[in-house]
Amino acid sequence: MTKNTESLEAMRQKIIQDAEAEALRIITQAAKRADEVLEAAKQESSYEEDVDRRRIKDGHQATDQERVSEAMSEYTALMSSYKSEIMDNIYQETLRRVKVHVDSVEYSFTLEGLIVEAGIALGGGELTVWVNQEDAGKAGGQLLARASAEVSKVAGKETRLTLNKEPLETVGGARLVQAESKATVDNTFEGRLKRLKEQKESELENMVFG
Amino acid sequence: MSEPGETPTFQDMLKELRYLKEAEVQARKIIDDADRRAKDMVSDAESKAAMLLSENVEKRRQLEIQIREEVEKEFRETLAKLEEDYVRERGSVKQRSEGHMEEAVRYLVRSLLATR
Repeated sequence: MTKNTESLEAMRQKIIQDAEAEALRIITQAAKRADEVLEAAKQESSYEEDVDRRRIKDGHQATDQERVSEAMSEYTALMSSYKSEIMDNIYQETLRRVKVHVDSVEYSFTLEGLIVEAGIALGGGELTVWVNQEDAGKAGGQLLARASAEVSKVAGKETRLTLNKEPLETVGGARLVQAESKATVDNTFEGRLKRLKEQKESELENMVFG
Repeated sequence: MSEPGETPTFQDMLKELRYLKEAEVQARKIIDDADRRAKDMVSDAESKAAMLLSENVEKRRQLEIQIREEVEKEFRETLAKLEEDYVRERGSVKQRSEGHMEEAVRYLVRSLLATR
């Protein structure tokens, strides 16, 4: 091989070597880029799975909590309604027994006591007495006269009890209205029971449900 | 080819130029091949990445179904337990109230009939 040929061959080799070096650089860079792309995808997948699991579960559990709370409220309402039902049965039974007493001879004394109690609570004076149709017969005459005297004595004020002409719808007892102030005391058994329920509600529930 | 010291003929120079030109073409080819392979490598990686992400979408869908079932099952169990508790509590309330109903009625009747 002549020198000129050698020099030419060296140039050719240099060109090829440079090209191969460039090719290697290109391939190396591409391989690196490919690795980066894959790695990023892997990381994204793995990250999203964790995040998704938490997000989805949290989302469902939040809804679930609401549903459980709703169900608990429903059961609480059902229980409360069941207890009310029991208490209503007790109140009905109470009135039924009171009605038995109303039909007895002792009731006149009770009615008198109820009228006197209401009259004293109103402070005496001109009082109208409302009772049911049956009690109107019992309250007339003697009973009202005795009750007037008792109220006058205790309240320290001249008292006149007058029976109202219209009857009252009630199991028994009386409602008294003061003529001047129109103040009223409902001493019917329904009225008394209503007050008892309001005043002794928790005591009664404790007694019944423990 | 011309020898050193010898004035190259036009033909020789043309030959040498062609020789180097061929080398250049070969070099170009090497680089172009490398470029193509590089593009293929990146494109391949991108396809794989896209597939991975698409698999992830499916996995997410499956995960959603699985978690929904898990949570639904837990909810049904909780609900069943609540109902059980309610039935037991209702039974207990019924039993307790039956034992004290008479006492309550008597107390109420006494209170209703009692005057000052």
